[in-house]
Amino acid sequence: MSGLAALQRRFQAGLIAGDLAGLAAEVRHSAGLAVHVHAARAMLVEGLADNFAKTLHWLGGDAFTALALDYAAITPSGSWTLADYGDDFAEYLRRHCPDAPEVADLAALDWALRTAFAATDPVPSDWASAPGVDWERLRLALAPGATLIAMASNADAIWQAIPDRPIAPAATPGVVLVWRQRLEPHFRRLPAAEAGLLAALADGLRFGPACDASGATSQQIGGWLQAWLSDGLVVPRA
Amino acid sequence: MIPPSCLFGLGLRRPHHAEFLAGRVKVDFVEVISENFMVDGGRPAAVLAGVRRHYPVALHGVSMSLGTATGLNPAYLARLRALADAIDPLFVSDHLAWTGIDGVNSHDLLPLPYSEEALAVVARNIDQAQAALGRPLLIENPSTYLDFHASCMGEGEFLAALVARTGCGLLLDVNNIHVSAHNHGRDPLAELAAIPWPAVRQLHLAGPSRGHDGLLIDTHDSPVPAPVWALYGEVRRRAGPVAVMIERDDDIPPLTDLLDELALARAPLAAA
Repeated sequence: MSGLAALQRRFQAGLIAGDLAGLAAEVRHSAGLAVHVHAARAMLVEGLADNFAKTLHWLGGDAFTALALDYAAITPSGSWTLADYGDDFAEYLRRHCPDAPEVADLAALDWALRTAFAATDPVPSDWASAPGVDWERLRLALAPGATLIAMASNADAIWQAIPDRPIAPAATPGVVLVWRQRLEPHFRRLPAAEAGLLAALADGLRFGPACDASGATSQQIGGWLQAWLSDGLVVPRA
Repeated sequence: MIPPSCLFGLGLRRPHHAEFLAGRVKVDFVEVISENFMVDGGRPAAVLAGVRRHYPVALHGVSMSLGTATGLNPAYLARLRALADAIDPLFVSDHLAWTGIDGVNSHDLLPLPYSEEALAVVARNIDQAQAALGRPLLIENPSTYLDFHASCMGEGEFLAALVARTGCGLLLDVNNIHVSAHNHGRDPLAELAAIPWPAVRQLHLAGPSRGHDGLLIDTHDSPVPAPVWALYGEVRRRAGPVAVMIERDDDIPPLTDLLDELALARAPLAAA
């Protein structure tokens, strides 16, 4: 191993541990080591604050920062951008705030909206009106950036209410759909039957059998499909 | 005399997107943080395409990690290449620093020892980047808060050697010269002596803040202070035609404030 690589690995390990004192003998102005310890941790916390803005608002700055610091201490970033940082922050919050499920749900919604924001631009939705589409055997996928979030709480209502009006958390299990229409991310809570069909299609089931298994009427499915196509929500699976 | 081909620009920051998209801002170029636009699609890509219709764009990176001993991330370079090909940038730049190793990114610009080994590493990485990007890189001098005992040359000497070995250009951050000189107790004017001036293509101006232990920190959250303006005058006298910009990343003021600062940068040298 080269001397520089060894130095960088020691430096990085110290940053992750939050203590670079072990490098003091290598440098002049050892006070500068603390600048990097602070900056590296602060960058990760600021990244989380940016990516989970509504979660931050709900928790309050002090509580959010404490959780973010704890998460950052065990979760190095592996991406070239902080916009990718925190992909399992919602799961971390679910483990650390078991009595407040709306916190993890809010974070999952923040993250899904963030992901949708810069997802690949959707293909035009006119594929569905092209002749020869074999709907019975068609496999569909959610458009890039679209996702289904299983929620235990009313975090979707809380998200919309922040910051203007207080709203109490409540246990309201369900599925929230996040997608991007043109440049704007959107979300809406789905009826259970629509959520079930969309999840089955997202899992790769063919359209015909998935519809049969859903128990929904043709009229219901037609209405949902019209909305999905209008929103650019589903695309043929490659 | 200000060289007639000098350009004056600003960084593209979120609160000012609408004005730049409308093409209303009187600047010669816009600089963006490359990584913010190395995305699959959506609003960031649309904003950059819209801004590019009105202005030349400089790509300024913060995560290439040119000092990493184990080499650069090919996926990063490929994505940056795609972005550069899409917008035909005025410059592509990044820092004389490393941000992580073994797949980790600290998102901090970490210091290098100015040693022969580090010189060989950075030169090799610049070669790799320039080959992957198909265009020359500009390397920015960093703000530093510590010196390694392993250093055997000054920063200017290190940069000059990189220019000689790789043909890269330089982005000289005047604030970083001020910050590093202060933090290491050196004379900022003396720091200019080793700079290979013909390689300087771009200048950054910014304001630091004061941290613990009397260190200056490169925070980009305040107006350009008097010592940086004074140093800027000296830099401009030495540099040829360059692209000058105000770099502001935090506590972002109204655009008019930044344009007022940029007017100071445009002013004849005697008044700058």
